[in-house]
Amino acid sequence: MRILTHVIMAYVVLFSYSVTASEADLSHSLTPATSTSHFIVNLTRGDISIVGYDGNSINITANFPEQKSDRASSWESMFNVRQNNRFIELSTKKDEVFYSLVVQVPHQTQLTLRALDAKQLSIAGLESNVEISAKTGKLRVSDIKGSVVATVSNGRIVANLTHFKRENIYSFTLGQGDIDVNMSKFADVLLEIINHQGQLSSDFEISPLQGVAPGSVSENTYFSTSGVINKGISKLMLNSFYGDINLNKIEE
Amino acid sequence: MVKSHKNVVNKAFIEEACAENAATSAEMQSHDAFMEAFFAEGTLDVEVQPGTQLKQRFYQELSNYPKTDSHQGLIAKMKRMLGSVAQFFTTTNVNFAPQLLTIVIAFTSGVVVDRALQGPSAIDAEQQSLKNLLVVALLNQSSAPERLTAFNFIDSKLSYDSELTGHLLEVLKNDESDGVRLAVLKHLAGALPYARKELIEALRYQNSVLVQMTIINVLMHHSPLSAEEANKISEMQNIDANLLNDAIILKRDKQVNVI
Repeated sequence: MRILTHVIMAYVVLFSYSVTASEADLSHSLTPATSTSHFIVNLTRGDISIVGYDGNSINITANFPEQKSDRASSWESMFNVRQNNRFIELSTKKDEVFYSLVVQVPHQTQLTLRALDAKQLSIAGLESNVEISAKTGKLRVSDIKGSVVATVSNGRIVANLTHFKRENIYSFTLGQGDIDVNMSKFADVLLEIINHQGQLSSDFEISPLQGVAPGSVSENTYFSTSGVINKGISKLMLNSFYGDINLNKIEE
Repeated sequence: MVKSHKNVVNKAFIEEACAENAATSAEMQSHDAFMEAFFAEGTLDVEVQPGTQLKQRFYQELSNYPKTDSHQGLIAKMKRMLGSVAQFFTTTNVNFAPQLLTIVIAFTSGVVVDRALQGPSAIDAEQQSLKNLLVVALLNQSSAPERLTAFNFIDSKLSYDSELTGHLLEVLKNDESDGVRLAVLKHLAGALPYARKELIEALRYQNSVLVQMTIINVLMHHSPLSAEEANKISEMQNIDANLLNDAIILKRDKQVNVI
């Protein structure tokens, strides 16, 4: 009986160690040539959260929730990094491994994120342009001062838009799933919507474009809606095949 | 018989030629004699090089020319013209301002009407050409947000044969971003019906169902698919025949509105 107890205790200790080890982080820092460098991330499988901050380096914390400790032992075994004066490209190495990444980047970084099989994609606090493409995943974008172009084949897009400048273009394209755009009452956008099979709902009053009578079919319309919220400063392009598009008004 | 006639003709021809030759020879002798006399030393007073008198004569002619100042002449003319205008307004009994206003309005209207009748000027064409260059440059950028800004500079109506339409069709076929492909499609819709064949061909290059169906809707919005077009599209390996049917049925049933 005592021997059996020892065996069970040993197993529990070993098991708990393996769980702790599997959740252990890998941390790494990359130094871009300038604070406005282009950062490219290629993620095969996993979650990623990218946040702008005041520093100069790119700080990556990687976690492998489904992975045994011995297989996630070194940075080099899990990631590829290419770097030159213009960009840094970070790619995950193991296609079968689920990566959970938290990345801090300088505010001014121009970002390109490509993901295949992602669960959560979150990007916040950047002042430059952002480009995202994902096969699957739920994308959340907030507090981006530059333009955003995002394409997701299957999943969901939630965008919190707060900066409306004339040069800004926000383009969200989703094959299957809902698009939610959250904006304050001061939202100032020119809307171009293509929506094949789904509903469009809006908390905002959408004015017709100049020269197009309300309720009429414009010359180039093809399952599309166009209009203006307030003065129509930034361009907001929403494209969806199967899924609803919701324009939600939120408190500032 | 024929041969003898030919001989007679030849003989006459030779005699005529000899007589002509003799006349030419006499003429040439006379010409030679003239040339010999012309170049004989001391026969004619010809200056082989420009003489010293030539320069002197030129300056003499120049000094005799009446002295006039073009600027002074112009100013004098303008003064005379303004004087006449002022005289017109001061000698008439009516108020000065309405007349001047009438002249200004008439002149401005003339300029405006003239410009409207002339249509796009060379400057407009040059501006358009520069704008097109800017659009092409932006469409070649590596960043999708920058490529999308190109569409702010494209006019709503495209001419089919323009170089720009060709560029846009290439973007529709090859751009990495579906958002950019959909944005370009909006502008290519303006090139219908001319670019219809090219738009159908561009369907082969689309993997996204959203882009495929939007192209088909753009085509059908302009005019229904012909049987030949529908067959061609359904034979494309990347197109789902069921989706194509759905699109055709949906398009037929759904009323599309602009808010």
